[in-house]
This record gives sequence, C-alpha cells and structure tokens, in this order.
Amino acid sequence: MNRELPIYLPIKVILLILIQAFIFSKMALFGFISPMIYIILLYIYPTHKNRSLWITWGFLFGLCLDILLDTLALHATVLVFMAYLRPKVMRVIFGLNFEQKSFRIQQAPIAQRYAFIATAVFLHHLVYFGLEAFSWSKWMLVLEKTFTTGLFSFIFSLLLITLLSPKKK
Amino acid sequence: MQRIIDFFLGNKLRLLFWFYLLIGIGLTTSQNLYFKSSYLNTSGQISGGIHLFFSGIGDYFSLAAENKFLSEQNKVLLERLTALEKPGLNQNPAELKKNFEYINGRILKNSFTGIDNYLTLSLGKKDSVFTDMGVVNEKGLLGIIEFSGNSFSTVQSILHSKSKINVKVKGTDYFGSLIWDGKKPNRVQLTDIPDLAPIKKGDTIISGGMSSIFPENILIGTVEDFELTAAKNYYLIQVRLFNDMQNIGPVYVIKNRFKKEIKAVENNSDE
Repeated sequence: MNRELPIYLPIKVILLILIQAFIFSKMALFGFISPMIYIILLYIYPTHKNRSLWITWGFLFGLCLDILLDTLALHATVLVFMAYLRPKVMRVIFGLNFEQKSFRIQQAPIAQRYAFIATAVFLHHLVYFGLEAFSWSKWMLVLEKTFTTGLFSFIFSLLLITLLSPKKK
Repeated sequence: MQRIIDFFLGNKLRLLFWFYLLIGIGLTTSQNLYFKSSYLNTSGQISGGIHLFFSGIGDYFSLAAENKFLSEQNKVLLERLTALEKPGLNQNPAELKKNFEYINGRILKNSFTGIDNYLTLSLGKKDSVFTDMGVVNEKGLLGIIEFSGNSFSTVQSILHSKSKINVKVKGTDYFGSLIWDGKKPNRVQLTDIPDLAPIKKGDTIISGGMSSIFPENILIGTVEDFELTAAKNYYLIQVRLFNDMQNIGPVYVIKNRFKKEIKAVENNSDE
C-alpha cells in the first residue's frame, strides 16, 4: 500500500552511487565506453518536493561520486545543472500533466518516460564531456563520446529502472 | 534593504543553482596546483580506503590469473639473470648499483574511458613514493605520479590530454613526444619525429630517457600507422600500446636515486 516510503529513497541513492562507482565505471564496453547510469536519480527522485533541497542533494550526490572516481567536481557540476533543468525538461515532455500536484513520473505513458530518460542522458553526457574536455577545439570528440556512451547509458538506465521500480499489482 | 532581501528570497533557487555551479566549475577547472593537489589528496585518502576494501574482495577472483602471470614473469627474470651471470662479467656489487630503484604496488582504481584519466595507487609518502615518479608494469609505461598522499597516490595516466612523454624509435636516435587524442585506450600518438626518420609499421617505441622520471628502453608500443602532418615536416604516428590499459596487474614505481642532483644541475644551468 505505502509503496513510496521516504526511507526507500536514501537506500536507492546509496545503491546507485555504489553501482555506478564499482560496476559501471569499471566497465569498458568495446574498450572505451563506461555507461553513466546514475542519471536515473533524475527519474526516481520525487518531482514536487522542495527544489532548493533537490539541487543541494544533486550537488552532494555528485560530489560523493567525484570523490570515489577522482573526477574533481565534474559529476557534481553536471548534476546541479541537470537538477536545475529537470522541471523545464519535464514541462516540455510531459506537458500539462506535469503541472498537476498528483503527477508521478512512474504513471506517465511509456513513450514520454523513455523520451525523458533519453533527453536527460543526452544533456547530461553533452555537458559532462564538454566540461571534461573544456575546450572548443575538441567538439568532435565530445559529440562522439556523448552519442556512443549515451546510447549505452540509456539502455542500462532503462534496465535499472525496471529493476528498481515497485511491482505493479 | 527590504528590496534586497526580497530579491534574494525571490531568486533563492536561481542563486543556489549558480552558487553550486560556480563551485563545481571552479573545482573542476582550477589551474591552481596547490589547491588541486590538496583537494585530490583529501579525496584520495577517503576513496583509497573504500577502493582498497572493494579491490580486496575482487582480488580473490583473480588469484589464479595473477599466479600464472607472476610465474611467467619469474621465468623471464630468471632467464635474464642467468644471462647476466655469465663468467667474465664484472660483478662488483658497487658497480651493479643502478640509478633507478623499483617499488612494487598495485592499482586500486583504474580509469581509461574519460578524456583525462587518473589511476589510484596503493603507495604513498610512507612508502617513499613522491610526485613526479614514473609508474610502469611488466608490459610497459603507465603514467606519472601527480599527487602523493600519505598512503595513496594519484597517477596521471598516459591516457590524459596533458600527458607528454619523451620517447624514441628503437634502434634510432629520433626522439618525440607521446600524447593521447582521447579516443581509444589502446592507441596513443607520437609527434615531433622529423620526416627524415626511417619509420615503418611494426617499429618498436621505447622511452627516451631524456627526463629524470623514466630510464631508457622501457617498452611502450609498436607503430601501427603514420602520416605526415599538415606542415609536412613531422610525422604523426599512431602507436599501439603493448599494455592493456584495462587490465594492469602489479605495477612498479620508479625512483631515480640521483633525481635531486640532476634537478640541482639543471637549475644551475638555467641561471
């Protein structure tokens, strides 16, 4: 009945950090692709909560990953950016439904949900690799990495969401 | 005053966003070496312990492979030893003392899919491992220590956009710089080799020994492909690494016994 007890969220978040740092970041598909699946935080975090708190959580979550992966503050910066942008992206994709207080992303039509994850993955990877390269001259490399890594992040994110989401009765 | 307070309250979210974003970008792109090293050191000390725990679990699964690898390496070393022990060679221990000393350790965290890759090493200042020492394994060169903490260090991999290592083509005296274009983790680029050099596919690339970090003749890779650059005076050579950067195994830090003296001499000549 009470499927969304608040205690579940911190456990999911810690699991997400560990899975990302110790499984997916150590993966190398085709020798050079490490999917970034922690982006599903944007999917599992409730939508109509305090937004300042949400941005702060995004920053702290990213910083935990950065400390584990030696990436200075790359993940933190990108997550703050994505956390700020999330409502705007959602408004575009879910339309008027999103304005309602009762809106829950898990109940949206499947096509809209996939579109949201794909958009989030694309924006996240573009900013991430752009910031990592930090030079306009490497734009080809940034795009290449965004699309190749993004494709696999998308596929693995979908799989994980299916695993993590509560069973339908 | 009231207006200022209203402004801050009204734009709370936006201000918070910019605040975090600027901290993040500042931390990520900081060029201040002191700040960067102390930050990476602190994070390295925290994450080093966690990685040590997880790699401790993972190590059990690779024991068989590691044993095989070590026995093969032993065989190679024994063969070299017997070759060295041939009668007639000078075996005065004082003369056998080499410039370079090796300290063995292992990699706790490896990365190779980013544009700037770092490795976390299980050695630190307490094992007398310091900044600017070279890191190699049996198959070749891996990187240079960028920051060393008390018990862990961060290694700048050769797969890093700022990595630049002095190398040469084996059997010639043509020196060049080894860089990485950020694409494939098993392929690096060699630049600054003049068009006069007799390059062919399959040539071996080894370390040049022009710096005090690496000794000469450490293996790096083979020439896979090459072309003249736009200026037509130099080659751009694609080098396939001997090392599998995804599977590194035991590593060795190279300590130059005469580094201080070399540095002192270089500083004197600069003046």
